[in-house]
Amino acid sequence: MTAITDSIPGTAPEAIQYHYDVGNDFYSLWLDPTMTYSCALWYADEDLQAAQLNKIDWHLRHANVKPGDKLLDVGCGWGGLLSRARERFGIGQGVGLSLSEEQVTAVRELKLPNVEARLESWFDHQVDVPYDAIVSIGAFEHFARIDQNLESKLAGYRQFFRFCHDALQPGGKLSLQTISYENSKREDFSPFFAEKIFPESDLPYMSEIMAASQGLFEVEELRNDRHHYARTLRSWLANLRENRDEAIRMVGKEKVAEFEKYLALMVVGFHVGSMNLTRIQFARVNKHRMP
Amino acid sequence: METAATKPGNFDGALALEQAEVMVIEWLQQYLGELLDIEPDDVDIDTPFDRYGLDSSAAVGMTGDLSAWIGAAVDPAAPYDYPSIRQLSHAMVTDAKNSAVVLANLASCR
Repeated sequence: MTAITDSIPGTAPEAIQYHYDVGNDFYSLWLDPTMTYSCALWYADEDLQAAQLNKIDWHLRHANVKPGDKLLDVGCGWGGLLSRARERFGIGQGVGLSLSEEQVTAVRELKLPNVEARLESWFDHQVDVPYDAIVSIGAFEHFARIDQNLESKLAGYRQFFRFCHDALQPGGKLSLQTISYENSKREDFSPFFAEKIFPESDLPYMSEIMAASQGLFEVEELRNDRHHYARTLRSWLANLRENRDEAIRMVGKEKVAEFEKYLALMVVGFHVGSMNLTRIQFARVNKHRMP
Repeated sequence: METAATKPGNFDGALALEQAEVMVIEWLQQYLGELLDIEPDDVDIDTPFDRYGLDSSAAVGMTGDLSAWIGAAVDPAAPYDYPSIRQLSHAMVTDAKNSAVVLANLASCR
């Protein structure tokens, strides 16, 4: 680790890898074929894969991705969005950032033309030519740690929006998706999650997202979809239980039990509304305020 | 006693809804009794789960174990939609998606 990476706001790479590098084969047992590990978007009775593609397309449209564009995906996962952006939206260039070694390797193995996967935080990402569009799905949950005070938590979020502002062309858009605290408090963050599932992570309050983006981005559209996440998690849980024996062979009984508990707890959290899932379309603020 | 199996159109060997419901009620009383260290008969079937101190972790554990016993999926959030033993048991055996499977499985548990 370099000195620079040590100062990434939020989750350290080792803690990211603890969760996301459990094994691509393990995740492929219960995620959909596009390997999308975030809340899907349902319009009707589609299956999980179709709902994941709905979600990806929603973000690509709301980031205003056009043919030939240069796109940044902050938290690119296993590359589902970058694939779709190439195939359906004809991007000219794509860059995906992830702190998971297995994810970066997997995206590179897709050999998508003009797409680069980098094992790097947005915090360290050097931008020479600004991007036309930025999408970030399911990464914001790792931009703060539960042990930070609220002031430094907000400062980290602010830094992210400042990065996006600087990294975008004037007129560019950022489409963001993250879990947020809804009817719950930071103190309610389950020790089980903090210790076993998502170490060194914390969720934003909606008010923090708004405060951190103020003056840098304008909210154009916002939708809260907690029931979509409960449904996504139910699908994952059913898939994992169906493939339990194989999962145990891959990662062991204890890990599988942990994941089943985590997925089930998340179902409850979204179902009862202690957490929400927000999708926000941000437009870059291009002009400074009048004095 | 008339059983479900004697009624036309029912799953072969399956139980009547009422019998199945009683079995689930008793299972949940046993389960909560062990969890709370009280006699199963003292677990009131109309008292809301949260008044028994059931948190989300315990609810998830309970639905997981219940699911394994009845041999059908039980939603982890079910105790929140059906917040007492009576309500949850009724929902489990009448749930349209699972009902036939549950009744057949419970028949074999007897």
